[in-house]
Parts: sequence; structure tokens; C-alpha cells
Amino acid sequence: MSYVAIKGGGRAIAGAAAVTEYLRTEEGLDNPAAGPLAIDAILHQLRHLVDRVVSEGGVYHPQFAALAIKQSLGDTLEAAFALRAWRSTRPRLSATPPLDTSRMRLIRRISSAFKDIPGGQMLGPTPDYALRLLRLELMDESPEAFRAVARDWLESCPEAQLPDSFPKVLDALRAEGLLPPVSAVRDQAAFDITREPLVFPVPRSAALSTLARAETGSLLAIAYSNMRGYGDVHPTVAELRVGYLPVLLPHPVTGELTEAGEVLMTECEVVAMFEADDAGGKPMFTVGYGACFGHNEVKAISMAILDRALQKGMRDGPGNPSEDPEFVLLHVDGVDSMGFASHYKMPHYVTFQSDLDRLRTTRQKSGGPA
Amino acid sequence: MALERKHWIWALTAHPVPDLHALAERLAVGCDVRLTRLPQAGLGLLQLADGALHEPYYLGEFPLSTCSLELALADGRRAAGGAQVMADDAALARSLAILDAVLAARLPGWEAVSAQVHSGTARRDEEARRRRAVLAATRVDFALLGNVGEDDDEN
Amino acid sequence: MKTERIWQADAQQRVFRELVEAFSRPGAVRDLTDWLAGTAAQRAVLATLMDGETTLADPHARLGAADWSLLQARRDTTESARYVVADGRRAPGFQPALGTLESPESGATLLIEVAVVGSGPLTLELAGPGIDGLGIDGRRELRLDGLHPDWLLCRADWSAGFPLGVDILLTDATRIVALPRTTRVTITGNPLA
Repeated sequence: MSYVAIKGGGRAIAGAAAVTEYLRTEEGLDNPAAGPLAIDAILHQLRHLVDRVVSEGGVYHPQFAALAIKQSLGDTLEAAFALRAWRSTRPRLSATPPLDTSRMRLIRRISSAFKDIPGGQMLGPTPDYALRLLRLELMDESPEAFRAVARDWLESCPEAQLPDSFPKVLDALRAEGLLPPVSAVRDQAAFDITREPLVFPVPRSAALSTLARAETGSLLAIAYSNMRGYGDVHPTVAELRVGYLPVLLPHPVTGELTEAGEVLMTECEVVAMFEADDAGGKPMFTVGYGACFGHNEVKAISMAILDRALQKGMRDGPGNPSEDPEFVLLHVDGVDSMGFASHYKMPHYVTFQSDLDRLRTTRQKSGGPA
Repeated sequence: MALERKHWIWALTAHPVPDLHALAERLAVGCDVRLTRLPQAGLGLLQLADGALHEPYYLGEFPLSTCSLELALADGRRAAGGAQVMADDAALARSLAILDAVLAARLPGWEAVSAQVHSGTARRDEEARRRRAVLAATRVDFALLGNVGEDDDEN
Repeated sequence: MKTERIWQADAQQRVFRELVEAFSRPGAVRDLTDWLAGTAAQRAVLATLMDGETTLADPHARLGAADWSLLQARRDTTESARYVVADGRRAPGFQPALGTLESPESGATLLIEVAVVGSGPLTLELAGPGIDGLGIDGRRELRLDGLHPDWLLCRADWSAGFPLGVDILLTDATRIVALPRTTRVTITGNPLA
């Protein structure tokens, strides 16, 4: 691989930036009603876009994610790249102890394994049961109507008596002895993918971190290959939850765990094909786990399937692409893969000239016209 | 609701940041503020125990600002305060650390901080109420087909 | 409220720039007076280099509790710390991290305070990258006062397995001078010899 140092593009590059900015603001030409996209509007009305960018950027900063979306004109890969670039300039101040996600303040919780789960099932905000019909009335929504919707909904809500947190469905199955015991590596330090390169074999904590900030589409594609038959996870969603997790850090004076803020996250646990354990004990279900910043269920489910597939691959060797840690973990990062794809746009004049030379030489040797 | 120190930051940050700065500024007048850990904005690493096998792993990072300090009054009273807050704002961590110190040691003006903690808690409770409403409005009442009329939603 | 000069970002940026210059030109003495506001150069260097991700050993107990808190560095043993802060008037008496062949950069940086940097009875002749002179084999003389002779013996030993080794920053009240592991040191004038 070789690049050539050329010059002469400076003005064109500056022009390209100006043209992009022109397109961002073009709506304002002869249109006094046009205005810039407000960060708050992106945060609320394009929330799933923000969710993708915080999770793929790997840092929970919804405001900057919204800004990145605005400046990249909605390109999630570019926006995640900008957020990663920002985070790389910030010092690392501390890490939380391993937090228990059963303390999440939920807005959604479902199980496809059991009808009745302790605490009940709550659909929360979901498009799952919506007809995929275009809502043409939103084409021209009046600000008054827009403001009335949330207000009316809130006023119509009865006061609800609900607990602050809900138990995990998986814990009930584990209590019955149907699941593998909790991991023996509970006390080991987790792998920090922002500091250590992935040198295989990597521990499961490295896989979980890599999958958690992976690009949604990449993760889905590889998980889908497993679902369709290049694999045999056959998952059942034991629990899928969306909510706000309190972020706890020791108080600087007392040392007591103190709430520094909260993150919106999605979490999914799947139960999969049972296996006999190595010691010849009773067969048990296997389990997979997925989680990410923001509300992104397809990502959490895909990750849970891949976690389960990779556990098998790490133990027995991969039988399918989705069970191969190296194949999966090195190809799901959006910033990595878009960067590689984009780099092909850089001048490769020298390498291509050499390709041309070799082709011509070969053709001459084989007797044809050059 | 008990207002333990571990809930103060959460309650206080329900208020607009300029209000917190103004209050901290006012209460720090006449105090000697000695920084024991400089106000700093950076990132924290969010570590979770995975829900399937309870292995620790890092979900990702979050903006974090921290500060520790000691307030000294002219009469010799001292108070240590500190804050770790999920924000990209070192000055906010400093103001919160001052409020933390004032309230913990009940230095002059602590009642104002206590009032902010109470009203902040009320705001957080309202937020929690809205989230509970989301859950309550979408709770699934399972019933077997044919058991109760046509549809469980028709009640 | 007042914060000491060395904890302020602009002063730390200046000190950092001086460190870059010092390590680029081994043996060249640089003066930090403008950024110190009265504190020792070694402390200013620590304030500049330390954060929550660095490890620091303090075998001669030079740092107070307040500074440890402000520096935020993680306390470590002299054997494994990335930075060691020491009093050059005392013999080293420890074995610092030298790095590994895969990761030689994990060898320690030693911050050693001496009585005087730039003059004194101990005369060193330095050679190696970053030392200007005729051709590439430049030489530079460095004079010091108050460095225990064991330090130079130990340094020769620690840096014998190059690229493994230690990088050294000598300081006095206001000045700094770097002796990275790439620099060859010959003692040409030694009051004890």
C-alpha cells in the first residue's frame, strides 16, 4: 500500500467544506420560516438516531451526539466518528464498580419466555405492534397540535403504583438450577478496549465491550447469519429491558456510592439451546447477553445472540462465522470499517500505476497487443 | 424521603446549572476554599455486571467532572466536600462540591442547600412518576383466549 | 480562592513544552522559573505529567498527602511505577522498571532532584541522538552538583540492555535537564574519583 504526496487540492477541499455547509443551510434561501435544527429537537424527535450515535461512539453524551448528527447531516457513521474523536481528547477520571442493572429505572420490559414474569410485562414505547403505514398527518403538523399531544397524554395518565426496580427473569431460572452458574471470573478486572488492542484470544469482557459499541447494522448482519442457519443459537428472549441506569461512583469524601447521573440503556438476556455440562451433570440452558447505550433493541438482541455464539466458539472453536471471535469482533466496529472503506478514496495513483504497468507487461509477454 | 448525602448530587442536578453556581458562589463568600482535588472534566468508564453470567465488563464511557475541596470559616470551622457528576463541566463539579461541604457540615446557609436538595428531589420524583406512567399505560394483562369476553383490552 | 501557578493549565502547557525541548536535546539545561511561582521545578514537572492514569513511586517520601491528592497519580512500587520521584543526593537503592522488548516504553522515567543543574564539580560528557556537534557525533558537557555517584553507575547498568532502560530528568530548584536512555554518558570530571 502506498500513497503519493500530491498538492493542489487545498482550495478544492476548502470548497467542499463550504459546499457541505451550503447544503446544510440551503433551506434558508428565500425562506424566512427556515431555521437551524435545534439540538433539543434532535435529542427528542430523532432520539433513536441519538441512541445509535451514543452507543456506536462509545460515550454517553446525548447532547454532543445530537450535535454530531447535526454537523454530519444525519450520517450516523460520521457522527459516531466525531464523538469518538472528541472522547479521545478527554482524560479518564475514573471507573465505576461493576453496577447491577437490576436497579435500572425501566420504561419497557418484556419477556418472550414467560407470560407471567415477576413484576409483569410493560411494553413502553415500541413500534412492535404498529402498522407500518405512513402517517401522512405528520407531513404538516402544526406546532399547537404537536404540543398538545404530550400534555394530553400526561394528563390522562392515572397515578401508578409500581416498584422502582424489577427482578431479572434469568434469576428465577438460575434459582431452579436450569442455567449455568454465574461466572467464575467475577472478580477479574474487565478488559478495557479503549486502552488495550484486541490480541486473540480475548476474554469475554473484551467481546462484550466491542459488541456494545459496534455498528448496529454490522452486528445485526452477523447475528442474522446465525439466526438463518449459519449457527444454532435459537434464542428465546428471557428478558428485554429499556431504562435509565443510575451511575454510581464513590463520594470523594465519604467513599459511599453516590449517584452521579444516569444513562439510558437497553439490555437483553437470551436463553438458548441446552447442553450437558462437561462433568456429565444435568443438561442446562445456555445464555447470551447484550446491552448498549440508548434505546436500540435490535442491537441488544443481536449482541446477545453473538455473545452466546462466541461463547461456544471460544470454547469449542468456531463452526460458523458468527462463532469466530476474530471474524466477529474485528468487523463490527463502525468507525473502523467505514474508515477502511473511505480510505479507498485517497489517491492510490502510485499503486495503480504499478498495477497498470504489470498488466501491460503481462499482456505483452502473452503475445497480445499491449 | 430521606435525603442522605449519596442522593444530594442527583437531587441538586435537577436544577439549572446557573442556579447551582449562584448558590455556591453566595455561600462560599467569606470561606477559604482550598482545593484538595482540582476541578476536572473528563470521562468515566461505566462498568456493569453482565446480566447472563454476572461477569464485569465496560459498557462504554460517560462525561464526568470531579472536584474535592475544603472550606474553612474565619471562626475555625472546616468542612470537606466533593462531587463526581455526570457532566462535561468542571465548574459544575466545583460548585456541587461547595454545596456538599456546606450541607454536610451545616455551615452558614446550609438551609438553602437543603431546600434545593428537597426541591430537586421533588423534580426527580416527578420524572419518576412520568416513567411509571409509561409503564402503567402499557402493562400487559394476559388472559387466555375465550376466558374473558372478546379482548382483554375491552374492560 | 487561589490555585498555585503549577496547577493551572497554561503553566502546565509551558512546562510540558520545556520537557519536550529538554528530552529532544539531552544535556541542554532549561529554566522553568517563569512558571514556578517559587515552587521546586520537580514539583512543577510532576503537576504537569501526572494524572489518574499514571503510576508514581516516591521512595524518598518527597510528596505530602495534599500533593498526592492533587496529582491523582496512582501510588506504585519503585519496581513497577512508570514514574519515580527521588532525591539525587541519596543513593538510589531500588530497581526501576526497564520495560520489555515488546514494550520498551514502559521503562520508568526517573525525576531526580540534585543541588545544582548546569554547574558543579561533577562533569559529564554526553553523546547520542539530539546532541549537536560536528557531524553526528556531537558531544555536550553537563556539569552537576549534588548527584550521588551511585546514580550514574546504576543508570549504566539499567540502560545496558537498550532499548530497555530508564529515562532521567534531573532538576534543581528551577532548572531541568534530560538524560534519556539513548544518551551515552562519560564521567570526565569527578570530585570523588
